[in-house]
Amino acid sequence: MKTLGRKSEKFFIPRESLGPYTKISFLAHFFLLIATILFQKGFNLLQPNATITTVIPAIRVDVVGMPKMTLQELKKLSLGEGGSSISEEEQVESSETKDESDISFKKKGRNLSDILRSEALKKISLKEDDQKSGKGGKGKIKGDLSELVLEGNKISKGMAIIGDSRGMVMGPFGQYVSSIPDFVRPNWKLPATLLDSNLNCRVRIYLNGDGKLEKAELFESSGNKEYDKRAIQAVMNSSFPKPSKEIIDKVRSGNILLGFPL
Amino acid sequence: MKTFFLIFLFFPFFLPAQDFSIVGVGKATIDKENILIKKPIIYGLKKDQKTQLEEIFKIVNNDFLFYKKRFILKTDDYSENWQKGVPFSIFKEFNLDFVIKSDFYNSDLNASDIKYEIKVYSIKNEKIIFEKKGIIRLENIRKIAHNFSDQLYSSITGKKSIFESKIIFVSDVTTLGKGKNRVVRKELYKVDFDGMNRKRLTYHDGIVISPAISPEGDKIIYTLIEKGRIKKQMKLFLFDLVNRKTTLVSDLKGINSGGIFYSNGNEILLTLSEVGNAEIFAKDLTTGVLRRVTQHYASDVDPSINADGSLMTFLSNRSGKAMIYTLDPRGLEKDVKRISYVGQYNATPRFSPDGKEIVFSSWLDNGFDLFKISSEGTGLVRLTKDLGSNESPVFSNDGEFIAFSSQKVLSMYEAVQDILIMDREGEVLGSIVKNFGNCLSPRWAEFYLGE
Repeated sequence: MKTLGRKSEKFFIPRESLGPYTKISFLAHFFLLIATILFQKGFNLLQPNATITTVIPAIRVDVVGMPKMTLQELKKLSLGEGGSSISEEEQVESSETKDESDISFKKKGRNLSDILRSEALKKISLKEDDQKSGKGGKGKIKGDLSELVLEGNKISKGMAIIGDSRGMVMGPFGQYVSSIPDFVRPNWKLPATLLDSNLNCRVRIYLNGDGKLEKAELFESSGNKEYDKRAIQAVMNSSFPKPSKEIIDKVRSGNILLGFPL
Repeated sequence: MKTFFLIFLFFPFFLPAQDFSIVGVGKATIDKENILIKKPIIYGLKKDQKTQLEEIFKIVNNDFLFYKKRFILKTDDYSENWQKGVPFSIFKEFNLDFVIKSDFYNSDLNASDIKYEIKVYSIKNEKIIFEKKGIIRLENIRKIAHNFSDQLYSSITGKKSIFESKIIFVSDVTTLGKGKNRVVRKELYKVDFDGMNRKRLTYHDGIVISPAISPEGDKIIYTLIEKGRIKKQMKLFLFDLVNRKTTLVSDLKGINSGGIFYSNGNEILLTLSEVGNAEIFAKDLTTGVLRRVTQHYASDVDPSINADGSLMTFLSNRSGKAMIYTLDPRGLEKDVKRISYVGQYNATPRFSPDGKEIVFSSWLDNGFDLFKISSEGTGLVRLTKDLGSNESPVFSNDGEFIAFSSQKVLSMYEAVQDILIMDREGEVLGSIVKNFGNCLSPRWAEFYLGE
């Protein structure tokens, strides 16, 4: 064994006596490693380079000044279009509404404004020729725009886009992810006490090739156990669409996070 | 060895990076809670007392029906299952969330006093969340019932209900004569939130408009239109509900109207036209000092203020037609912002209790309809359509309901105007005041110290 000259002789340690130091060093490093892992797990940093892409489905809306439909009408409309089943309680409610006819405005006859209103609510059917050519009649608002003006704020494909227009050029995985809220939302229910609580949690979902839920785990807690439980319950009670072959791996590996509500 | 250590130490950092795609599910819908209000258990009381107690629980049940979007009232009593204590497992099987149980029995002190014990059970947690014992005298059963309802509601939701609130309003039911001989009279009235217990408050034999009640429920301000020497005068009066005294607050030249209270109850906002056109001022009721809030060549009227006094909404025709604006009332013309752009003109903007929303009426083709918008001017929604002409909306003290005046035309010469209530999303619950002349300007009072 070489020595490092006289000055360094006092720092020389024979290899045979390194045994205990090696053990101590190993244990120290091991505990450091464990501490590092626990620290990272605690702060969700296990994958330090993980990126989270927010998928915001774009919605086309009509931009109008005066809402022609009431909030109640819009709700009924969206229920009908969504095709979701109306629960027994909701059916009871609607029958109760009928009972309140004594307070509704009874029409004693059709005056000019009534006629205009009913005409305004009618769908405009374009003439066959116009539909083919995509042009409106002379002096009229053209094509889709005429319906748009007359239908007011009725839910339709619309002209403007709110949300993220990237959705329009989203890949298959993005499109799949953006479709998921429609399947979960009907099951996402909270008691009134939590409804306006401004809480937010995130749930990570793992789906198999058939779109069946394999696992749902809390990724980010809201801080309220009941809220988190309800969010996971909403996922568990939902059925998901079948993913296409090209995105199966991503769907399986739990790359989808659902935000409740965002 | 060193290499091994290094790899081992930095192992977690070499894990493959994972990309997540996050999508928002959106706002949850309400999951209604199932409540069972068990029939009261009565021990040894007189027949009429039993009848009154049953009536109380009928009222309690009816009260809870106002919150039908929040609760489902179950009717099956499951009485046979109570013999061995509270049958939590059975209740869970039937998806009950809360069970309310009450016992009434003779007081040893006085025959007219009744001892009671009420408990609210949370079925999910298998525990009592509210318990109260006491003595009641069955003198005003509606008051007792609403008080019970409020305590039960609060124990379940943690919030105050509307059950002890009142609605004050103006009615022309005392108007005299018909046709050319018609002498219009409008006076102030109050009813319980459910339309019962109606009572007349003013006896001016004149025209009372634009009432407002103080947050503590001890004072009402209103405008009285009186005939002057040359033209009508609009004077602002304050009616003390406790000592039943009326005092003049403002009788400056021109309009003295549209008074509303600040949350401290000592300061009001009112519309005065002494300066030339209608402008909004703040007035300290103790010192009488006036502070100007708006200053514009257009008219500014009908203020409403949020709870902390940081935002005021009002009506102004500074755009050419009456539209809704907001400003910071702590200054003069501070941070003025127009928030409504709908209808031919708008009227009566009123804040929700949390100050986040404003409900108002808007004149469309041939009548008023109600709309709701955020205090920032976003999220405009329509609340009424084809229900006559609807105006003067006002939020309930808990923000869950809106009372409004609804006019129904019967013929070319005849129309009725009732007070209706709807939930905050526009589902009409029914009439609160019906067939009582033309009823206008409802104001919802959480507290009411009058008789």
